[in-house]
Amino acid sequence: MTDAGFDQTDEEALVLSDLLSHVLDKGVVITGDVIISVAGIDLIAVSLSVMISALETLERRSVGISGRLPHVLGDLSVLPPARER
Amino acid sequence: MATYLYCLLRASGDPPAGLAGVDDARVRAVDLGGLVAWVSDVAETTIAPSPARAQAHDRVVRAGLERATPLPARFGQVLADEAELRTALSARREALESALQRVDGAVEMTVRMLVRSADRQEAPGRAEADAQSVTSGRAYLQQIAAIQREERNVLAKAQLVRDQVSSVVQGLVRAESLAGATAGSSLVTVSHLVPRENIGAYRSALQALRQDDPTLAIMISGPWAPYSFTEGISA
Repeated sequence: MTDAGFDQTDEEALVLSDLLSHVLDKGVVITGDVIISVAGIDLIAVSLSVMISALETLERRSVGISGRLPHVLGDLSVLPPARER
Repeated sequence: MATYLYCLLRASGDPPAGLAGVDDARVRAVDLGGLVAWVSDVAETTIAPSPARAQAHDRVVRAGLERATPLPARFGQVLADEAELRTALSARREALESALQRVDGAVEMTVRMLVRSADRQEAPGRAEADAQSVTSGRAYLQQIAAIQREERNVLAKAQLVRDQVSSVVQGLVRAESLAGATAGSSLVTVSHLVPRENIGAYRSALQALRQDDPTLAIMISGPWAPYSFTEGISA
């Protein structure tokens, strides 16, 4: 379920970034041998900036998305500023 | 073959048949007597993160979340073999069990908000670009001052927004976890541990917050396994 005018790639970028920032950065750590690799840190940093720009795009277009996403079992809602709607 | 850890559960029982993990490996349960770890084999003890592998990791954790709230592992927790995994988990058994108890019956919900300073005349990116093109020293210093003012404004607004979020979800959540704020960042992230029966009310409360502040863009995601609520367990 996506509002008209919302770019599918923005939605996908947002969903993936949200996932990466949970999975790579949070959770139980039981082995000290594994220090997060440079690649992992890069992915987290990229995720955050992707999230910011995707949200900014949505704000500019004043569109929201809400729904059960096929990529993950959870839900995602993005609510742009009410003023600009 | 090394052993990759996805999550820990109190519930016994095998993962759903055919559940594929990182690199399509079959996920199996390792029973530690009242504590169950979901694992799969991986080729080596270090595993490079990629979007596909991260998605596979979360897919397994979510399968656990459908049964009971698991304690999710961070991506890349690989032990030499199953024996080493058992040793590592046994050494932290008490901490793991109390963490599982804290998250029992709850899920993680994450709210992200883009904040702006009160006066939106100059976005930091724009000001920085201008700073590179000015020629006079005085104008340059003024630009720098404007950028710093903007950053302070954003941090202050971020704090305000976090406080508002805490207050509207109060009573609906069991715990709160704040992502570290960085100067100049306009993204505020707060995760909550929400009892399953409160998910609907939680969403409504945050939507109401937006009606109070119409300039706020909000993204709410979840339910997640409680990735942000695994404190107290050390490597």
